[in-house]
Amino acid sequence: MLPWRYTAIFIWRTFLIWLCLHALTAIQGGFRAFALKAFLLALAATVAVALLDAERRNERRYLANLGVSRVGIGVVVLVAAVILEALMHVSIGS
Amino acid sequence: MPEEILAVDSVGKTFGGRQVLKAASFWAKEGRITTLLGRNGCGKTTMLRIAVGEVRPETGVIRYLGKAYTRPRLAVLARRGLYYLSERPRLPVTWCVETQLQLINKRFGGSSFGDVVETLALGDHLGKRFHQLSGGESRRAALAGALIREPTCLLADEPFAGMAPKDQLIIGQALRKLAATGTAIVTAGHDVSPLLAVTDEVIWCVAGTTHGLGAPEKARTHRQFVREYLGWHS
Repeated sequence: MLPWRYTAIFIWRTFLIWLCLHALTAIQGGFRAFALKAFLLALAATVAVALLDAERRNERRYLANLGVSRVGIGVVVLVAAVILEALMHVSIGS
Repeated sequence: MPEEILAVDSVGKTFGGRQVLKAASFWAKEGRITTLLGRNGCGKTTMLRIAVGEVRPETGVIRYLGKAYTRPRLAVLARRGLYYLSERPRLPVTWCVETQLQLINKRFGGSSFGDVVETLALGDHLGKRFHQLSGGESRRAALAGALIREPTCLLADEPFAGMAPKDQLIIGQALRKLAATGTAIVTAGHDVSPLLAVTDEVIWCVAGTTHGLGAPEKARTHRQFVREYLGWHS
């Protein structure tokens, strides 16, 4: 099981990425220019790379030594994302 | 006869068409330190990474505490008492060293936190984050995690690399202290003097396979090993 401190960190990161993705979607809906799309793609790629960098890999190794698998981390992130999505739909309506 | 805790048996691995490992094996025995030695690129790190599931072998099997794994996972093995320190071991920088070590202590119990901090002379650095530590301090901090965990088996890749003699001495003593509690330890690297000073058994990695050379004194008299690997260190 993920230590609570790391659970909080993963929920926070999920929130930030979820927020970025929704912001990007909203911006893309408003502006269709090719340059903007390229910029957004580059930004998304940067976020993806940031999630796979050495520090994150090192963190996963530390957590693995604590007995926390990637599946365990994935579950926390998924549940957090689903709850955020549900909260958004409830608050602004689907 | 010490009990066999971990065995990496006849593993093979090819990278980009080059067969790094053909049928290589190593083992970890209770209360003993085993050291993998060999030239750069001979597959020492690869074997350790295979043992914890970070690299998937094409052939061979991993046995840990009597159970065979063809696809081991570090998290699964860690729950059964294995601890892995990679080539450049790091603690996450999310919190200070003390918090990261306390998390391990809370999860597994193990050695007294204060004793480990004293053994590894980390008292002045507990409040710092990992990236604020020097090379030697960071290695000692990473090893502290293993000592607090008090694992059944520790795999430590290059534990003495790039460290001052004083730090090497501290780490060597810490590894011996851990082995004395019954932990099976496997190390690898090129720092021949400190490695041979702490080890009980040497395994030579060469030409994609491995040779058990026995105690360090015996390894130092193995003519081919001396000629092809040790050189002036003999």
